[in-house]
Amino acid sequence: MAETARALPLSGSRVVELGTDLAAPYCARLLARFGADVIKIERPPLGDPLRRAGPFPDGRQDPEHGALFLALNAGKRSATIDVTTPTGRGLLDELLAKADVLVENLPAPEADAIGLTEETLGARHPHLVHVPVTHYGRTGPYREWRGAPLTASAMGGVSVGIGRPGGRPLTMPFSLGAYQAGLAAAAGAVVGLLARRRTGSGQTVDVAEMQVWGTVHTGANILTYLYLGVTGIRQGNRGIGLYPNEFLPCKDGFICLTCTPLHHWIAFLDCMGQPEWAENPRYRNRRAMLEEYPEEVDALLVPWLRGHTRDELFAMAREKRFPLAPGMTVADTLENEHLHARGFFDELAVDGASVRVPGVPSRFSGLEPEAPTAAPSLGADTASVVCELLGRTPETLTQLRRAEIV
Amino acid sequence: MSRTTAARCLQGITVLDFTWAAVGPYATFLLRALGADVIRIESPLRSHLRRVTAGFYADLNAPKTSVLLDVTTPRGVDLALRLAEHADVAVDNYRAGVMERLGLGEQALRARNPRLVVVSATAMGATGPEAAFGGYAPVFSALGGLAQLTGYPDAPPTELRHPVDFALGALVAAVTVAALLRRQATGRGTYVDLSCREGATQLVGESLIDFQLTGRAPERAGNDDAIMAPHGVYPARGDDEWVSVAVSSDEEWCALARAIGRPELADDPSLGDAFLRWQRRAELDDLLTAWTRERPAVEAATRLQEAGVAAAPSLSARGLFEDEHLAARRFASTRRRGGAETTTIGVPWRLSGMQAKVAAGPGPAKARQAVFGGLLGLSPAEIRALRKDGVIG
Repeated sequence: MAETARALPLSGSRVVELGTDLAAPYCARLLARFGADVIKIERPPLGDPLRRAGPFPDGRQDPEHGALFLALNAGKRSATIDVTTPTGRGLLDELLAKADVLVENLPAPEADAIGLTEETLGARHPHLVHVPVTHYGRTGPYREWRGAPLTASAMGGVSVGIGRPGGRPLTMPFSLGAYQAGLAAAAGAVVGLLARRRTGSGQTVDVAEMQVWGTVHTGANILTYLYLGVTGIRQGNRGIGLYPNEFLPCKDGFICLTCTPLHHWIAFLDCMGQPEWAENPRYRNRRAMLEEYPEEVDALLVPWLRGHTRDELFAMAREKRFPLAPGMTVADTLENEHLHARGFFDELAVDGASVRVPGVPSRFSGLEPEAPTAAPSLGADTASVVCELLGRTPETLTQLRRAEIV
Repeated sequence: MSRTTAARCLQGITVLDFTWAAVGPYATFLLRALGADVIRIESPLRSHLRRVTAGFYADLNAPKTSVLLDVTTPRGVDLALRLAEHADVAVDNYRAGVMERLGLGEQALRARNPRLVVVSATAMGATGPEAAFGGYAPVFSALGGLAQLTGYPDAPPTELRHPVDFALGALVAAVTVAALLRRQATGRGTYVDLSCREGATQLVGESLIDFQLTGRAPERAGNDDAIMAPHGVYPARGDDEWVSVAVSSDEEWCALARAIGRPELADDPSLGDAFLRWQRRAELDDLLTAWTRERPAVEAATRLQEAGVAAAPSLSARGLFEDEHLAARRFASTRRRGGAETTTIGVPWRLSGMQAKVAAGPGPAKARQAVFGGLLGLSPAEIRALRKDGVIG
């Protein structure tokens, strides 16, 4: 069906980001991809510390070419304003008066000190959707605690569920918690905007990374605890439920085999050339297989799996339609033809090199997602924000620069 | 000045819920928590999973208005299309092509109602050579490149289920709300094609960037971080008690050394920067373990936090319920109804004013009457006939 209106979901909305590191910038990047005009406010003289974190092309440290910063900040404008000075704070207020959303991740004492609180913002900018995204949230006794993705996933109850039985709990890899929090914050921001259309009033949508984990982890541990009184189970490469539901080695890596309905297990056994096993109660009672003798069944499967590559096994699974997936490495992901056919990757220029970064995992019909424009260099848009948006003269801008406020 | 709550921000929005398993039901659970009317279409399709995960299933779906409707019959499909005329959103998470084969694909639904927002969350996305392949969370984690990076260096990848299901469910809810915002601006519905494996990949985008620029292929590294050390989960006093510690700066390292009674380490130039500490991370892990073993997890974390170090107890499910911080943030709510207590986990946001609410939905008879009698205006005789023929339950 032809679409007549091609507006992106957030076209015409303005987002102010006072964000550093990953979670808040990732949230604002998603909002930019949904069409919002995002103005990133950075503190002079150095700006977002992520600019200096790399990775850099050829290892040459250059704060304008940190690839992770460029990926998370593409499509935004950058203005440097020192919001801890009274003048800078005044400029921020003027900007917030013209904005729809504020995304920020300041430590609680700093947010309190400059009045980025529910009370102050609610009184001064009642239309504003304020989205603080922090490790522990802006309320509760741990609001001033220090955090990292590791500590937030630990407090959210994820770590104790990952790892081998009796072994050391594991965190989720990389900064996964920060991306989860950023995603939850983007959802919270659009919910806040929709609520404002109904009620005419903005609000604070307070996102705590630990609570995001606690909530999204609901199924695995919390309900098991509520219904069965069992807490924190680590099961290594195996899942819960019925056999098979686990990672197993094959010729060139690992595959994940997860057959919940019986017909999927039978389809797998057919591929193995052992359909008669499904008639044997010992290899048909899949709850007993998982709970009582999984190693015995693994030992029957692994020799056959080791004779086949991940690609061969995945091709069989696609043909016979049972859920077996190759454990994709980073290199596999970058080369995957399915992802390329769907146009999943954004190509990002990093100091002349082209880097593929994940795009948005959803496509709206009739809207080709625009490739993001480049990330701004530090303070690239300070003049346009201060002079055009806030109506200051070039002379005032020069004075503000001299006073190191912008 | 009162800031109105968003608890009812989706009031008046009707969602047709064709979902199963976890990603879809969690998405519509969130939409329900925000005030939408969710009509859950239960059909004979994919009923096995409901039996395997009964408690989990009931918890996510209890707040919705559930009706039995056999969408594998032409009359069932016709009723579903008529419901689409009265709905704002339709959500499904079958594999690509299933809804089309039933006659309930996005084009059929949107032909009935151009204002309808249709969101399909498929394992692989609706396009591309692997589109027809289905799968659960462990499959999208494996295909998304996430599982391969999660685990001990010397062991297979980790089976990841609910943390991935629920993260993707939240993403589905977010794009649904974004599509509704767009409809408010344009007056038109839209179709959203969401790929769960891409949703998993976006969470490890850093590893893709790192590989392309440095040539280093990241692998499973347990709790090791690429830059920070100490960075890990350390045993505390007691059975299966753990404390997590992440040191991200020289200042935090010095604070840690003093807090664990080893102030001389703060002045040791051979541990004076992040890279030097990272190279000796195994040794530092042992040193910190000797200290954490002697104390309960909460006490260890609190003492390190007071010194200015990022540390936290690694909470179990019970720990989440007993934690005073989460309680203060109203993470879960417990209600008493009759003699039974029900506990519900809330939404991942704390909205100013009040929390989004989740109450139990109507029973089967009331739901049937509300949907087929109320919304579609069928007479009691028509409803009886449809039940007799097994089209509705």
